[in-house]
Amino acid sequence: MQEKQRTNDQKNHLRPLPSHERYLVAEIKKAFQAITSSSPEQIEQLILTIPAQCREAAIRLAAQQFVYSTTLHMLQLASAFYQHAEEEDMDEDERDETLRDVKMEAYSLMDLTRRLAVDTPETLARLAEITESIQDLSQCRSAEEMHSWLYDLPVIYQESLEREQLVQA
Amino acid sequence: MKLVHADGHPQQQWALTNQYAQRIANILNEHIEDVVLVRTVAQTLKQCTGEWHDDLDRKLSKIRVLYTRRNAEENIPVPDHVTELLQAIHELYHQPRSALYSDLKEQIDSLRGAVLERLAFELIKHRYGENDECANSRRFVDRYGKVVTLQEIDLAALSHHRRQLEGYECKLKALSIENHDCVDLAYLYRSALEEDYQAQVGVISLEPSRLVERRLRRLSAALCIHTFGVDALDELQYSPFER
Repeated sequence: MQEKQRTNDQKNHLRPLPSHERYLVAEIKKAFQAITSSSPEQIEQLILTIPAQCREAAIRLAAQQFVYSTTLHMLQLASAFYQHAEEEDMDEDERDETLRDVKMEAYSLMDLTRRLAVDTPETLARLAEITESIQDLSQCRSAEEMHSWLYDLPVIYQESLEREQLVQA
Repeated sequence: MKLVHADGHPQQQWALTNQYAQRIANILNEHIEDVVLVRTVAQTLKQCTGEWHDDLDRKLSKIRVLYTRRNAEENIPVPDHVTELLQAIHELYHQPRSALYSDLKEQIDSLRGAVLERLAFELIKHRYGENDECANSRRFVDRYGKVVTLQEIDLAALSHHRRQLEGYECKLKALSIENHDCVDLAYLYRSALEEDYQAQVGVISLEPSRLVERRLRRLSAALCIHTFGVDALDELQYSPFER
């Protein structure tokens, strides 16, 4: 079993991170904890208290957080898919081809942040509703479900935002 | 080449004529270009099975949110067709059990499959006229009266005067495509060519086309088998013989 795992990992370039990289990730985590972060409460406070001249910037920042959160959701789905696919004996080539596609889709989701057209509380509230609904819809129980959501999620999200002109075409 | 009624299962005939399956198919057909609607409904039908559909209403309410727009003054009502579609999906899962089924799970799964078969039918039927044939659940018979496909074809269409035929297997999920489905479709294609018919055969699915294509490749399916995943259903509206 361990031998099979090792072979799979090498084939997919997903072997455990070397110790110096694990050290770096731990340092990054510490820095994340130390820097100004963007918890829901902090975003709320920021929008409520920031002077009117800077409110639009705060709204734009919050909008980006929603899109980043969907990208994070998709990458977490990919990670869970990888684990479930192994447990459910999914074909290795199928799994690997899917993960290659996911990488491209994740970049296209990240690209949405540059096209966002959200600058009012109304548009931000709408973006929030859409983001929450699509992340909820794409909760999965099996590798098979994750498999198709990894393809549908970016399309549904992008199309929903474009339809409501929350991103520029 | 001829089309004949498949003996079929009475359950399948019941499901194909079910009012809710038909309504869902009709609305999706009319709004096939609406990517968000088609894909979210497709995901719901795939994920909510007869065995497990506890969160069906929650999923439907989330789809509804995607169509609940508002402007500064007022909420803009959810479009009627979306409300009707979501209601029909709810009803599909909550009908009383027909005597034809031994349990409700089996009935729901049969209805889920029927939605896709009826949708596929609606998408292509306008391309066939009075003198043609287009129907779900049929068998093709060759000029010698010999049955061409071992199992019934989920969607079949035949035009004698244009000498064209189409045959499709409908699968909610890519993993449901079996080797015998591919063998049947490939045999139908070959038989059609032997009788000088133009032919298109394929698999229609609610999965993304990429997944269906890869499933066919892993089954070493014949290259004549086309793929119409959830992202390509709209292509079925157009004749493959006029490209």
